Amino acid sequence: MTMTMEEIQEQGRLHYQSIQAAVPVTPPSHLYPKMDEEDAYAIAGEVVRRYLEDGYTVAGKKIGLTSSAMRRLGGIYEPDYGVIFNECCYANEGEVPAAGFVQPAVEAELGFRLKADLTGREITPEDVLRATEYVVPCLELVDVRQRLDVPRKVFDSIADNASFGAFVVGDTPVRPYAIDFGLVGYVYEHNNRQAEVSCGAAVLDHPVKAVAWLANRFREIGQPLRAGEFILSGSAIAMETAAAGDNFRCRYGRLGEVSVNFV
Amino acid sequence: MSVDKKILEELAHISLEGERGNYEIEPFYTKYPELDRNDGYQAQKLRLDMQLSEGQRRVGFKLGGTSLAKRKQVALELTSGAYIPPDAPTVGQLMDYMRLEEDAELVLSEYIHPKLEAELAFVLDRELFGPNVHAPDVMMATAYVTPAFEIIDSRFRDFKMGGKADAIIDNVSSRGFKLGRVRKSPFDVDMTGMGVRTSFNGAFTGYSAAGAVMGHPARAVASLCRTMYEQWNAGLPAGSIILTGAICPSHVLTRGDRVISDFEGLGSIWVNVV
Repeated sequence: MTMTMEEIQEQGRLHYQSIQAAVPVTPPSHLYPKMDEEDAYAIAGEVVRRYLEDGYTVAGKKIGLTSSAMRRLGGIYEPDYGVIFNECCYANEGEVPAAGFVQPAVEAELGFRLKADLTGREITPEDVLRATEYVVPCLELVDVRQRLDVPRKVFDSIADNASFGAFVVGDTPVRPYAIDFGLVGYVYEHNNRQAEVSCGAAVLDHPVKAVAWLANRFREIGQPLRAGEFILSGSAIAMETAAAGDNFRCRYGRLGEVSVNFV
Repeated sequence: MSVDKKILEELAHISLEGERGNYEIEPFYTKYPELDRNDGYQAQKLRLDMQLSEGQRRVGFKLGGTSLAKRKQVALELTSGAYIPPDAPTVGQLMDYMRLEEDAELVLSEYIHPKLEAELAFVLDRELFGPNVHAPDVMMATAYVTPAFEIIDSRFRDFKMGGKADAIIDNVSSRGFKLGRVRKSPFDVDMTGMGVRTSFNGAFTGYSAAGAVMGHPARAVASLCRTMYEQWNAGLPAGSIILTGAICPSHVLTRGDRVISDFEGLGSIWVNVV
């Protein structure tokens, strides 16, 4: 921890304001070059507190930077996480106003609905599968609130609630043992043109491993993942930036497809 | 036809000798910048005829440049000014001696600078011929699809292919292939969403899906059929093995590598490099 409580609260306020007003904010590491991971999660905590004050309700968590493609893009090596909200969830094939975002981009991932708490000893991928009610394909509508004209570091993304903007949830769930999620193919299209192709293993070798990583992070700080939480397990593809008029669609093999239209 | 047949014969011969002798050759396009795609296919035909006249047998075809990932890689790393149009993949010939049996190891010293690609292979149970062949015709004529490894080994120095014809004359770097054990009708697998992952020595290196190949690999076979018709007035014989192109970017091989690719619903394929 290198920042004062006042500095953290101020950064939390600025980031939440950026989210609500859709205006860019300066990356905190530009102002506080010594900031560390703890500072970053503290700022994100302030952002979440303000969401809750405004009446948002927690849907669960998102895991970021899980794909080697995304980490390469960001020049970093560890996943991060943020909090996601029910009020930011869109139905499949929904219309989303681009004006509500600062710099929107779209990622494709799998969502896990938990039916049991992930508490106790070290959580394994098998524990995650046992605690999962269903898995469903999702699009995550990432929003990079921070200015891009100065360098951004991974701590900046963490402070920005892991760039969570909104998410689109698919229609048809599958049971956790029905499919090997590591071999789910992703065919990702931007305005009906193939933008990227991937498979589930791009997410930390297996999406279930990503959820186990998250579960252990929260177990260690005494806030285990709980039954009912919805976990976005991280993108298998590098995000594409979005603008009004854009359509994004991902086909997830036997899991079906999810699409979104920016208006 | 802009180029003397003698020149095409000579270039085909140089490429073939490089393959037989296991050595690198110099690029053609610096000396013959005017060579185009049609010249390339004429030379490739001459190269094939040389092999057939020696008693080798053609067993199928390969496609190159069919996936977005591969086209990006070629554009970034491999070529010197070559343009690969997204709608016109390149085509090469597979010969009988190129096939590795299922338990065979890959002997590195038998190649120049080999790279490996994981692909979906089609095996036809009847001939496809003509300009009016499209994906559904391919589906109907396919006996089965199966996982495949292709070993590409451009004869050109440092794998650098330039111009519009070099790669085509050089049989699109074709050098070897291996087929998987599981065979299924193309109607029984997800030809778009089938996930494919590749690991080298236990670490994943490639993540993709069958749809990486032109959105649906049967489109690649249709494109191959039309190319053979346009270029040689030829078809794809029954029994042909067709490698539809890399699903993930290609990977350099080194001694001791163990490569495994898993295809969703279609089993795995592996090879050891010695």
